[in-house]
Amino acid sequence: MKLQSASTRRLVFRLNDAERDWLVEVLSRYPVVPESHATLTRQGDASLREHEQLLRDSLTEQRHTLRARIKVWLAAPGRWLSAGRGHRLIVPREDGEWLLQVFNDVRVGSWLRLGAPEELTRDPGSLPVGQQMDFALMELSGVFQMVLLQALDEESGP
Amino acid sequence: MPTVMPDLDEQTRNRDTLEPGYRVVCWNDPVNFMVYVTHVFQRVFGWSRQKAEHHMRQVHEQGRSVLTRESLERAEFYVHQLQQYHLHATLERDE
Repeated sequence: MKLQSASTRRLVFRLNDAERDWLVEVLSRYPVVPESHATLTRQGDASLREHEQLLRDSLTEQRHTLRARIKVWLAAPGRWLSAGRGHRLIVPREDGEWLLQVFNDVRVGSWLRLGAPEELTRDPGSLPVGQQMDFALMELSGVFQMVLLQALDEESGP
Repeated sequence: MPTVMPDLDEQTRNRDTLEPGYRVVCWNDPVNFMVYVTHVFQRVFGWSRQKAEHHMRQVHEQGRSVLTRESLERAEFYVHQLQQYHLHATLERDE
């Protein structure tokens, strides 16, 4: 996935077939972080329990909103254009922030499913088969996140 | 007794001085990219890149950074915002 052009309104990426399939796979996995993961305080302050519930309710609502938005977004007319052997993906700049949140949910959630290791393995082949998909999703969502982040920082072209 | 009602700004100031303060803290983890953390700080707090990078480095090198001190309501707001991006952020009493 490479940035092809950036304007004030939109970003255009070029993807090959495999990248497109993985992008759709990553987005369709959302949400991955468990709802119980959100905490307001480190030590569990009992006096703020009600506030913590509000935080969780707010994040749950966000998950529902984003999950519905992803489906509509992926299927929107003009989202994908064929480009020779590959594809062009059109991303309005205003969608950049929620897409970053989605990619990072899949990244952090996959990391949690791996047991939240302090050191990220460089040898995914050594992982149990059941965790290799989590590792792949963590890495790929990180790649998409970084490409999008760099593109959002890109100066607008003509 | 006061003969006139204090204006709203004064009421707000008085409330803020009476309310306990809360720190918004961001914790280190091995999964969030440094450049992503910097970006999120800029978006949530409206900070310059330099200030955002300073706090990101604190998180990375010292394990945590106190991002701001606020009333409970404002601190909660910032924790909500940071957690929407899945940064490990919490609040604690500023004692």
